[in-house]
This record gives sequence, C-alpha cells and structure tokens, in this order.
Amino acid sequence: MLSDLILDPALLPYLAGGVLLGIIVGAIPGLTATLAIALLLPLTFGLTPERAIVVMTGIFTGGIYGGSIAAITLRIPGTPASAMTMLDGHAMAMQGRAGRALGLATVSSCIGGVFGGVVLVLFAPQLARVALRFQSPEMFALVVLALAAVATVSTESLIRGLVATVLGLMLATVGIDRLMPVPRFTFGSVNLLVGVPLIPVVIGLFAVAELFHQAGRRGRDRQPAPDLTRVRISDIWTDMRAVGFGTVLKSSTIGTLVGTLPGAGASMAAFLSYSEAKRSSAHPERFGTGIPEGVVAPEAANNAMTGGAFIPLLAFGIPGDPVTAVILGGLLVHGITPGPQLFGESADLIGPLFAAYFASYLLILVFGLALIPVFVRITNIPRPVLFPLIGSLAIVAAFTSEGTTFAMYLTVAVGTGAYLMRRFGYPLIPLLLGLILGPMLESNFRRSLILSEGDPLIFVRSPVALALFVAAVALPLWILRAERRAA
Amino acid sequence: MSRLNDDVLSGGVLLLVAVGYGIVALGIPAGDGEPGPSFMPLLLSVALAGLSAVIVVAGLRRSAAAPVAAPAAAAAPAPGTSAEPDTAIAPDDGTETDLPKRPWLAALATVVFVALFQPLGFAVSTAVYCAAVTRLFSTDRRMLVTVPVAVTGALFVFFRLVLGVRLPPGLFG
Repeated sequence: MLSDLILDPALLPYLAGGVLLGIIVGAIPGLTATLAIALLLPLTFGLTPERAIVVMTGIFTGGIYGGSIAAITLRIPGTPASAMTMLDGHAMAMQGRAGRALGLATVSSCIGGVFGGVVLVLFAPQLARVALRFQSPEMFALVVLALAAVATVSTESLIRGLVATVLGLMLATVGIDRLMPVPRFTFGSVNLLVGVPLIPVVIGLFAVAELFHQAGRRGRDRQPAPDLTRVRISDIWTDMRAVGFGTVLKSSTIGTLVGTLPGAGASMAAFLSYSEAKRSSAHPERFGTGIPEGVVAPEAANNAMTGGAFIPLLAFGIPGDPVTAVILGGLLVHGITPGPQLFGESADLIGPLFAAYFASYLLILVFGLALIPVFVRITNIPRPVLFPLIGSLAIVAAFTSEGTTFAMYLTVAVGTGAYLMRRFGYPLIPLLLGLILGPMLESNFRRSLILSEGDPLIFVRSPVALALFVAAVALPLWILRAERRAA
Repeated sequence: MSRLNDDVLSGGVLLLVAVGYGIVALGIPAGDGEPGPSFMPLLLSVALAGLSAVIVVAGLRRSAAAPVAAPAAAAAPAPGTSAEPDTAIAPDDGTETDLPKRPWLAALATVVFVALFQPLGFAVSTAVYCAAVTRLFSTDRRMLVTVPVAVTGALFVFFRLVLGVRLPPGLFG
C-alpha cells in the first residue's frame, strides 16, 4: 500500500507540467484552477487515463497554491480563494517582506496539502467500502444531500442556488432516457441523443462567461511590479514556529472538512480558517496588519481542502468542490467512473492519483521557493493579451473535444447563459453539479420505485437513507443559521 | 440595474423556461406503472416554476415596500461567501459593469468566430477573432497586430504540432 504512494518517475514530467500550469494560471488574476482544468481538459484526451489524472491533480493543487502569489505581491487575489491571504500577505509585502510572505504561503500550503492528503488516503477507501453497500434509495438520498449542500454554500440566496441546481438537472435530462429507449429534449438533433456533452458546457461556464464578464469591466492593463527580496529558509522557519503547530493543524483540519462538503471550495476553507485563527488568537487586532498567522491559516486550509475534496469524489462519485467537479467530468471522458467501484475496477489508477497528489506538494515546495520571481513576472499578463487567448483557446478546445461545430455553438450558448446568470446573481457551480449528478439522481430514484413497486416509503425504510435525507434538510438550515450569526 | 428589476426580470424568464420545458416534457411518453421518462422532467418543471414565482413575488413585494431600489453595494457578497466561490473574479478597480455593451460585442465576435471557423479555417478565423477581442480590451494599435499573430501562432503550435489535432485548413485547404 505504501509503495503505491511513490510516483512512477515516468509520470513526473506530466505532474511537473500540470503543477507549473496550475501555478501560473492560478497566479494570473482572474483565472482559477477551475478555468484552467476546464480549458485544458480536451488536451488530456490524447493521454492515457493515468497520465491525465496526474496532469489534472497537478493543475488542481498548483492552481490553488498559485492564487496566493498575486494576492501577496499585487494585492489582487489570483483566485477568490486567496482573498484572505491577501489581507496579511500584502501587508507583509508592503513592509518589504514579500519574499517571506510568499515563502510562508508556500510552506503552509504544503503542510496543509499533505495533511489533506493523509486524511484522503486513510478515509477514502474506508468510505468507499461503506458506499459499496449502498442501494438505490441510499444513493438517491446521498445525491440529494450533495445537491442541497452545494445549493446552500455556493451563494447567499438559497432560492438562487436551488434555481441553478434545477437548471443543471434539466440539462441532464437531455438525451436518450437511461432506463427506456425514449429520446428526451433532443429536438431531432443527433448531437443531443447522448445528452449534453460535458466539456463544452464546462468551458462555456467558466472560460467563455469569464471573457464576456471581463469585457464589461475596466481594468488596468498592467500591474506595477513588486519588489522581491530573496527568501531565507531560516526566516520562514522562525515565522512558522511563531505561528505554532496548533494553528497549522487546526487550519488544515478546517480545510479538509470543508473540502469534503460538496460545493464548498477553497474560498470557504480560507475564510473559515482565517476567521477561526483570528477568533482564537491572543491578539486578534493584529490580523490584517501583516502577521504570519494571517498567511498561514488560509493557505494551510485552502490547500488541505484539495485533499478533502477528493474524498467524496473517490468514495461516492460526488465532487467535493468546483475543481473536482470538473475533474470528474475529465475522468468520465476517459471512461473512468469515480465512485466506490473505482477501488475495485480501476484500482491501478488510485495509486498514481495518491502518489501524484503528494508529489505535487513536494514540487510546489521546490518551485515555490526557487521560482517565485519567475512566476510573478509571467503572471503579470496584460488583459488585451490574456482575454483573446482565453477566448480563442476556449472555442478551439471545444472544437477539439467533440470535433463538431455544434460543440462550439453550445459553448458560446452556455457561456452567454452563464454570463447572464452571474450578472443576475445566480451561482454556476450548482448548475454544473446538477448536470453531473442528474443521471445518478434520476436513475436511482426511479430504480428505487421500480424495486418497491411504486411505494415511496422505500426511501425512509432504510435508516441510512433516512439519516441522509434528514442531513439534507438540516445541513442547509444549519449553514444558513451559522452565516446569519457570523454576519 | 437594481436588484428589484433583476428579480422580476430573471424570475420571469425562468418562469418561461419552466413552462416551455414543461410543455415539451408533457410530450414524452410516461411509460407504464412506475415513474417513466417524463416523471423527472415534469417534477423539475414544477420545481423551477415554483422557485421562479417566489423570486418574482419577492421582487414585486420589494418594489411595493421601497420604490427606490437598494444600492447595489448591499448585494455585494461577504468574502468567503461570494456568489461564486471558485469562479468569481478578483475585484478589479471598477466592481460594477462599466461597459454594458462590451460583453455583447464579445459574444457577437465569438459567434462570428464559430461561424467562420470551418469556412475560413483555423488560422484566419482565429486571427480575426483575436483582433476583435483585443480591440475590446485595448486601443493600442500595435496590439491589434501582435496579439492575433502571437495567439494564433501559439495555438497552432500547441494544438497542431504538440497535440496533433486536425484543425480546419479553410482558405489554405
């Protein structure tokens, strides 16, 4: 088992490429790991599943880490997740300690990431063993819980979250019915018989909508370059010791737990962990003035989140955050169905995934400490260069994914719809989760009722299903109450 | 645009979507006995209709209570609970939409790009599209030439030479 955690050296170039791409894209203000994977998914088609998994893992961990670079040096969070890191990280940079802040972010990201990975390796196989015993009613209840959680956490308005979920579920009903040979919502189009293709939707949601959104904003073409001082390991060590192992452990735990919750991603992990570090601190008033805790807490948490987010993905086939939702799409394209069967059917892929995960943090540590000035320079791309690149890459990638003009039009249509949804305050992540989990929801629902010959009580007869349904109602209420109290 | 109009407008559009989707769903064979292929779509149609009605009613009620709509700042999400945790964009200098027509120009350019992609081929259509998008973000004349050439070249190297994807040759075919 432990030998599975050592990465096959032949996979190392793929992982390093993924991590570097992730860091660069994550560090460019406005581009997220979700967008990076969405755009790069079609490019993994030519790879073996094993290599594709390794590349995607690298982009994920690198992308989450990369966000901290622009947050600290440019005072623009590279990703929303690093908005909390910006507070103290940029304050440190203003005091001439940019290098130290970046070093701290790198080290705490790695500790958090490895912590999340350990939890992943220990718990995912156990949970999968439990999930294998799930029948249709339990699986249905689990998907309901996941959709309820994502609708709640992705926006302040539960109603708007639910609308987005339903829209995603509606998209999922397009195509030939899974239990009976009846076409639904295909309007005679051959392209829609197998359903709405996932990759064009993902690219539309995250890349094309982003382009339209950015076109409507004014922005500075170029950011002022930060001054970088050389990082000394001993300084980072001093700062880490001052912060204390307790804070690192607590932040990593919060991050991992948030990761396991479907839909809740790196931003929430960083936000909760920063708030908790501040609340429990002996000197909360110094948060925001450039103290190491303010960098360590959110960075440890949002990187621990990556490990946590893989847990429900591998154990149940339910992604734990937006990036793993897109990764799930990528796995499906490669013919891999994440879920409890994965540990049996495709067990040979689990080892490389775990190995790539841990190795990616080792690479982040090396790249982060050695190449920071290079990343800072590369990531400062002017908007008039960046957005033509994103737009044309999105459309060509959509073409590559299906080889049809239809896929390109679908991408633009989804992008326009997604742009409007954002503009009117509707979240996009529940829509993606609805589209991905829709078939699982519907087929388990109908299979249950076929088993029970139409008796709806089958859903409450199983104690596990009942508990999951109760959680699906209680969890949103609990989150909403906690948010109201925090506000 | 005020939140009030947003609610009534978006809720109204969603209601239409729910009705249209529901009408198509009614035409799907129900299957016999157990919930068939039309069951879930009908359920979703009703759910969306209900949710969008709530949004419309909330919007109308707010307009009755406060004729002057709340400032947009009130709707700005708190950090960590932003409307779009991992897709939202980093705050720029202007947080509201400054240039309301630009997104539609970008959308139009993208549709034209897709329409011309096969007939004109990858190189020409991509370069023209890049020039159009660059124009939306910059008035610098040099960029109108350098960006399309650089981006088209980079994509060609990446897709054609590295990945071996067949791109439509169009005019060069």
